[in-house]
Amino acid sequence: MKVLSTEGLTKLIDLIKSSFISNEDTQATVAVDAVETTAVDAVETNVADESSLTVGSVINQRDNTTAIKTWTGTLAQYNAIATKDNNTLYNITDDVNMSQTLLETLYPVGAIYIGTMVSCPLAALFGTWTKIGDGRVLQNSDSNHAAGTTIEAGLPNHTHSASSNETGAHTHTVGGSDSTTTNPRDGFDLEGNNLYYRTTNINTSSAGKHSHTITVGNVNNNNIYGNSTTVQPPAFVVNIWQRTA
Amino acid sequence: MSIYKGTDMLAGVPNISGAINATLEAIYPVGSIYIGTQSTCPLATIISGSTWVKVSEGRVLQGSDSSHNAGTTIAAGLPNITGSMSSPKQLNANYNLSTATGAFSSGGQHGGSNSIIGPSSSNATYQALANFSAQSSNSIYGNSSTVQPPAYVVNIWERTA
Repeated sequence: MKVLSTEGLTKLIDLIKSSFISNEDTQATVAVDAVETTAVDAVETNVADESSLTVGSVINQRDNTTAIKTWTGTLAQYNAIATKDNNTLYNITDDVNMSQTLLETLYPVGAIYIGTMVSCPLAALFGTWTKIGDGRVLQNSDSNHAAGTTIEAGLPNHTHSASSNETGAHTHTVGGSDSTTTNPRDGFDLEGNNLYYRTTNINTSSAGKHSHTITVGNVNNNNIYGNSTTVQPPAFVVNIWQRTA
Repeated sequence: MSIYKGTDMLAGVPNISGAINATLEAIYPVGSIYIGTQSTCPLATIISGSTWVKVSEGRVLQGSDSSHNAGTTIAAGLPNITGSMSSPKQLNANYNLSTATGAFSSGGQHGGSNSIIGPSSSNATYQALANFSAQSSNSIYGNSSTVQPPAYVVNIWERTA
């Protein structure tokens, strides 16, 4: 769609707005009527030479005296005008359309667009758009993560321990009984050609009260555990702003 | 077209809002996402004829990939945690876990074979086995191979040029 240049549109908006400033409803209606009837006549001439404009064809309602003039030309011609006239509507025939100018402003390089469409709708209008963040959530940048980087998944590690210290001092039993009563053995003993061993249970010496600890780290050998101090999904880092005023 | 010509000037007033609306339509076609902290979507009243539905409640936005299409959701998930442990060997005694709850389950009794410490074939050692699977306690575990928060899948593009 081809529309007014940004500046042209701004001036046209100002023109319309000025018709209503400080006017009661009845006055505003009159003003609009004046704009409509006179503006059409004026612009139909499509005058390129400012000097030939008839003062009074369209009046700037802000001061009610200044003539609104029109100008038509190319963007190059427009840019060649050193001093733009605040009371001239510039119709730039080959200017990029206002929509694209606005879009370019809103979406500079580095901007992010989010949607559920299969392709970025802005790609057909301007710029090069690259799909990013596959399988990742968007996360605001911080001092440790700059925008444009990624963060891998992570969780705090699990460490589990179990202890057996409820029974206090205790002993462990070694099974078996003495195979000979004449010379009790503590374990295996070779006397001559005879092998003697214990066949009755005996107790080991007490180790006193102690605990046994089982520690599990790096659960399941999955590196996700221990890879973060928080619950960190795989993320793509962006800058996020909130308009506050 | 020049809106300065003829009756186009009269159409200038609606054309202004029309131009802005067209721009907003270009930025926010059907399927686009608007994010803000407002209680209602401000574009609902600005883009004429548009309908905005609050989506992704309680979910993060996640970029689509080959497994997840835009517009779908992903349930929360974490890798499962599994493991097992056994008790110390006990001689000549049946040995089973008396209680196993939550992520723990009994793996039964292991052993019964001849013991190398026993003097005869009648001696055997037994161990109680305990299995651990976090999934048994909470189905979030095992529901993903990564740290997956509940997500709403979108397409994300970055302007690179």
